[in-house]
Amino acid sequence: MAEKKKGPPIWIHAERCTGCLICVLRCSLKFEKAFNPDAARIAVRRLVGADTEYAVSLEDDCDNCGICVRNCLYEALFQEEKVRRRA
Amino acid sequence: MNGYMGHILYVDLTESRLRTEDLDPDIARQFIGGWGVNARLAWDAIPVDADPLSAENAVIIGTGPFSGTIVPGSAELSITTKLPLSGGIGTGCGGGHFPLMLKSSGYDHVVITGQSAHPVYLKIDNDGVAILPADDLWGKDTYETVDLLRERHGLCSVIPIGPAGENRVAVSMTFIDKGGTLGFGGLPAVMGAKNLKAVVACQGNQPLQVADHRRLIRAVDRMIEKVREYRLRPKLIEGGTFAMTSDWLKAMGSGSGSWESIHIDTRQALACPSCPMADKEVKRLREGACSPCTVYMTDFMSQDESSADSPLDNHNRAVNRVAVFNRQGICRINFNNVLNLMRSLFEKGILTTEQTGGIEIDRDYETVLKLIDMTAKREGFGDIMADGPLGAARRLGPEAEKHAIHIKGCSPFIDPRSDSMNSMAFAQMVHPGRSNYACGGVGIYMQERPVSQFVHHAQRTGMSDETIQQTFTDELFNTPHLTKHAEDWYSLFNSLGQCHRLYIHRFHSMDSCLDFYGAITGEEIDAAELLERGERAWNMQKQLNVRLGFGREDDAAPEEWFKPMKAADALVPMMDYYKQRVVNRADTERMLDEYYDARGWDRDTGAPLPGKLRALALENYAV
Repeated sequence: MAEKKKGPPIWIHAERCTGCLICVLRCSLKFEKAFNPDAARIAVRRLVGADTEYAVSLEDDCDNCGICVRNCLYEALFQEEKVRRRA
Repeated sequence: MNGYMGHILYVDLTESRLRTEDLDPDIARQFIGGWGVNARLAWDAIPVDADPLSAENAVIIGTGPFSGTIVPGSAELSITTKLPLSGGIGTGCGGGHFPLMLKSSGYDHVVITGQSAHPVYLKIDNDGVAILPADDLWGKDTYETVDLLRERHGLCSVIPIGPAGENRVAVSMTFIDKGGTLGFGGLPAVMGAKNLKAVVACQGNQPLQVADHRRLIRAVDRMIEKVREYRLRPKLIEGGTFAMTSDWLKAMGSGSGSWESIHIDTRQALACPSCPMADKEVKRLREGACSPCTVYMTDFMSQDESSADSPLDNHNRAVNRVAVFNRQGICRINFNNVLNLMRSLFEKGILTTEQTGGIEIDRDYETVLKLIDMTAKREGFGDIMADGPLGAARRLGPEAEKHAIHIKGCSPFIDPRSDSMNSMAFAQMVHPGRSNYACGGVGIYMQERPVSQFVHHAQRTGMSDETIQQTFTDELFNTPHLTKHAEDWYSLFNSLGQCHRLYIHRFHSMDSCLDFYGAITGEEIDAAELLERGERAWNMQKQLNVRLGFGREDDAAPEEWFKPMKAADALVPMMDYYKQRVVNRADTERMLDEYYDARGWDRDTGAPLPGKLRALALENYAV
């Protein structure tokens, strides 16, 4: 069952993602009290043969708490309802 | 063990045997991790008489307690092996996703020995470690290998070898996930000799516990606040390291269609895990010469390709040349040094087309690509170039050997005639095993800066007041003493699993290291103790090479450095840091004396003295 959302939707600009995984690490630390990328509610996957290096996706159990957005240093994540998702 | 996964994976490729041992908490405390623990493991794992390209040699992979956390820039991996280029045991360090992935699979270190009968790759994850066939990967370049293994294993990090490694080329090099350079001195040749095409660390599900995560978050947030305010960061993210640190891009012209605009339009910044200063990049050429072409690098290196003495003035061709180097797995530093040597021998008539198989040795684009290919395949004259500056020169005879520029068989990265005999240049001479080149300081150590700035930097990095008095006067500083401190600091960073590049290093200090270390491991120690662990790790690396027979003579400056270098309109001699006087052989020998004294090493042999080994609790590793 999807988590009850705590904040507005999170928008992803994957073309700006550098793969630093700070969002993944911060998320897992918040929810698991340990560093464990596999347990994070945001996933950053490397693409093969694509024009963009990374794909970023939110897991079903993401509650839009925004910890990933607040800690993203490359403006790849937004939580402003006016920002529209790019391709 | 907070900050550690607590396990070492042992892999015997000859017997296809795997076993896991606990990481000894005492060893972790004494040597921290990464660089330091690797050195300790190498003492047992690499026999003194092991040929670098034999089954007996070991490849030791190590992470540190910071690896896999949010400490900014904590993605440095250490790999230790006996290197074919130097014959010494060295540890190379590079950044990427591998440390995080390895720890998430439950391991801090991996020790690989033996030799497989056929091509294999090692896959590590917490569901199972496997030695898998790599017949279909053999012959693929580094990028193809990484892509195929990513398609096969999903979320993972790959250390591949290219054709150069397969063919046991000593001037080989590899990368973590195509990006972070690794293996200066010929690590890929060692892997190739083991029939080991790649090591893959998959994303596992093992949690990494830290002692006090709230304290860690507070400490990281304080640092990130400074990072966000750093005025040059936007330039780094937009244009890369060289755009940030110099006017190189502007020198290549500005405005639409210039090198600067092409560079920025074709790049995407990439970061290692936890890094707020994305210094790596992927460049995708979509039009013009050599397109389509994709290459991963730090653009700092592309400056090398476009330097004034290079005829490669075309952006795409320069980028493509990097791609060819990287795909083949050839080390540009060593290759370019060998190429320069061959060019020089060719001009002097010591080398002829008879020996080169009809090739006129030159640095033009086509010839260089041809020579890279021949070197990677060990084909024709490439078989000679593959052996590095000393190895190749020896094959060409004593006259050629006189002109080779090398330290312990490896190429210097910095020619002090271009800069000065600074600590980074000097560190190349005394480095045990000669596996890397950045341990004598960070960028500011190379430029002319006032002494006061060095004192401030030394204080920030934990140098004691007593050592500061010994190292600095009002107007000058003692380069050997500064080198010793820089090395211990570097050793500490790489043992922690922490990146040392100047634009991330600038935010770190001894205070921040102690804070992170305490929050992660739960062990509260002072600055002297933490720096001593770095010094212990450095001395352990040294003892590994003392045991192999390396001595003072191996730390000597190359003869060529004492001959003035031809510049545009003058002959430039080697000068001291402040360019006040010419440095001669007596000076470099005196610097070695001072360095050994500062280290507590014997002036005659260059080996740590018994008292130093006792002080560092290393008496069990006396030679």
